[in-house]
Amino acid sequence: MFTTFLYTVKVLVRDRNVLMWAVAFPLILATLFYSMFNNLDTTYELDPLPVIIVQDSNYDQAPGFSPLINDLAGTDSPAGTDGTAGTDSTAGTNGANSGENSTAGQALLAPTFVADPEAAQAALAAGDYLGYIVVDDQGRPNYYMDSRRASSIDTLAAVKQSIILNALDRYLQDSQLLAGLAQTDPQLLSDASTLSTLSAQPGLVQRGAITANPPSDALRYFYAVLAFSCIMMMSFGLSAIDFWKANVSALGARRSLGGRSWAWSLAPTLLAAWLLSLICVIVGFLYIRYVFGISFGGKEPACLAVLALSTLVATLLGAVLGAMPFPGGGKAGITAVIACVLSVFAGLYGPASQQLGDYVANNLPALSTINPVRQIYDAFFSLYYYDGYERFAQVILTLAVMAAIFFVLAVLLMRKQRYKSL
Amino acid sequence: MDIIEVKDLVKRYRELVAVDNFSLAIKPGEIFGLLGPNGSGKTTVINCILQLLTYDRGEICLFGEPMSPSRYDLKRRIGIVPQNIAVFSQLNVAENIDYFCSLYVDDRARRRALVDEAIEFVGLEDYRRFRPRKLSGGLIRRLNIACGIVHQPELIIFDEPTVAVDPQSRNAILEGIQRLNERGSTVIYTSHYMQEVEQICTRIMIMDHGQALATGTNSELKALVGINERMEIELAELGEPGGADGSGGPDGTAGLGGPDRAGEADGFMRPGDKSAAALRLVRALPHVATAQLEGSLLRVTCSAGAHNLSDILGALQKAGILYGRVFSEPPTLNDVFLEITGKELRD
Ligand SMILES: Nc1ncnc2c1ncn2[C@@H]1O[C@H](COP(=O)(O)OP(=O)(O)O)[C@@H](O)[C@H]1O
Ligand SMILES: [Mg+2]
Repeated sequence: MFTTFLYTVKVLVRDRNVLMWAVAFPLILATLFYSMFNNLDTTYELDPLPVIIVQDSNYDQAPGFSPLINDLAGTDSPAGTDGTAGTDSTAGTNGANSGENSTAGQALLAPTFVADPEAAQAALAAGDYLGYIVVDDQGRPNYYMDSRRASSIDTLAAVKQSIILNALDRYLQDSQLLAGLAQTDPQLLSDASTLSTLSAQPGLVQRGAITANPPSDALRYFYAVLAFSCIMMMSFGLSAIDFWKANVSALGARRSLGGRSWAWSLAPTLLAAWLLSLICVIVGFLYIRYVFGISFGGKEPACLAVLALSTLVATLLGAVLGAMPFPGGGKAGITAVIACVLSVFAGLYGPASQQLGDYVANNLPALSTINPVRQIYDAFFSLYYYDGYERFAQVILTLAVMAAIFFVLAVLLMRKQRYKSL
Repeated sequence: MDIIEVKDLVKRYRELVAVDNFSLAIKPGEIFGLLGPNGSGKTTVINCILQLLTYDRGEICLFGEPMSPSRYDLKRRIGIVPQNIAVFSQLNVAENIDYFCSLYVDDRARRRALVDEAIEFVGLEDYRRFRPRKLSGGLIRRLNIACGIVHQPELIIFDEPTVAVDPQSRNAILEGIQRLNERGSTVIYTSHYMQEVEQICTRIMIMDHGQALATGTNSELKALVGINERMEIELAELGEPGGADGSGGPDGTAGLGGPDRAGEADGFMRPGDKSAAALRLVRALPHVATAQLEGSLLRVTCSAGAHNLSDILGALQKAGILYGRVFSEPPTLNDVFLEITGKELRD
């Protein structure tokens, strides 16, 4: 059995066509997308927003405000200036969350500190600032936009302004929550864990605000490429069955005349095809993950599980196709067509295909469910976007059912040994 | 016990009856030849025996036991060299042979010895690490054979192993098959080349249109047609018997008659008369079964008799007919095939 496994691996690896489709093509595609999005990312990347901050006694006294600003500015919160336990852990949490999204060191604000509101207005009039922030005597931050910019129809500017407003809003809500807590349940406030839970909140907001749209677009493409390359691994299953099955090739006929049961030789054959597929997509995954730094929500082990299951689906699907009694020559092309068509609905081909895929997912969910490429894509997507694993588990279950169905089909097709004609 | 026993096998491809009430029994130690023209159903019979094809009727026993697709114990005792080359283009010579050996033999050390032996047997020692595409047609055929015989089975089936092979490789293959037989394997050999079958087979079955037409040893088959000897004699200076156009003869014998030619043609006896006389003379001889004149070529078959050729040549000389080259050969399987089917079995 091991010998069969070994030779199957050799035969598959030495087949240049298969290797080209399975390994090179997805890598090329990913590289293409990467160079495309590298341009996109720089165009859309938010430069730090130039704002003026009035650094008076109100500013210093507003709890947790100066660390927030420091955080947004990407400078480490100066130790000791305003270091309550809560704000310190905020900074810590931010670091952990955003590190994944390569937002560490990416500043949202480029603050210029002035002593009082008058100086701020003067600076606003003179310089190129979006607005200024001043903390009132009740510890509430107010944001004054440059009137010229406020009326601007420039969407990018509007986005920038709203990002700042958002951040301040969030701060206000949290500090009011804290204040409320202090009145109703002061005990709770002294509990360090409550504080850190609460103060983890602003962190989430920042993360959302900073990495919102452009990167997620890119992620969609890379997840789609990965899903596509998983399903392309059909070609390994297909080639393996090509020289295994008696009515497909002279080699298959010869193999089936040997002194081994069909299951004895089928098992190592499929195993070889599957393992090779898995290695190929893992190479692709590592390439996307570590060469291009594309995030998978920090859940790499779960990603490997997805890859293993989806290549199993692909191998079995390829085996089923390989066993189908239609002329052998065109099968490689047919697998490529199948993979490409299914990938439309995973959004591989840009915004239109993404919209179509999403539309189908929302309105014809059954179609999405039976599309392995979409399911694989969804698996990565759910790993990245959801903290919990429910959606992920659902996708995995779907893929497992697919694998089981293809397995049964494959076995039904393979156990047949006598044919009406060869 | 028969190694193979096939009874009343019928196999249809839709309307086409490819194997028609075919029966066969092969004894241990034989080199059994299955001779038939292309499309006569040889491969189909083999594939039915090996349970690759379903069949409509018939019983097949191997080694005395009924054969079925899952009789792996029986399959293990058979080696098959298929008609179409079936080796991996991605594996080299040694790997190919080892792969097929592994379908029968688990033990690695034993396999290595068997592979070496098979490589040596087919003479591919210098090509162990060659991939098939670097081998010539004859060498690939040898690899194809090595893959089928490597596990040293009791029964080896060769399906047209010499198609498209140069004469040198062909002889090597035929000798190899005889050596395998001497080593103890029973052999089935299918071919549409009668010389090969005659050369190596201990028993021969002639088949056509899926039917077994005749079975027996080489001489048994030839006894069937009652021919002992066939001769071809090139006659000089002859025309068609009774033919108006005398130029047919001289054309066919150009260069034979030499300077005499013009004189003879102008002689008092017309060429047509001369040939008719020759035919008459030859046909009158005691053992001559048939005599025909094709152009200047006289074809004669004889049933029995010790000195037919000298009798015939003597008769020609008496009639004053010059002759050129003379061929004499014992009857061939083609004569047998011709006798049974009324058509030629041509290589
Ligand atoms: N797969 C098939 N489908 C239909 N007819 C076939 C098939 N294979 C062979 N035949 C027909 O069956 C007959 C016997 O073929 P085959 O066994 O290959 O002959 P041979 O091996 O003696 O050349 C031929 O007439 C051939 O055309
Ligand atoms: Mg044939």
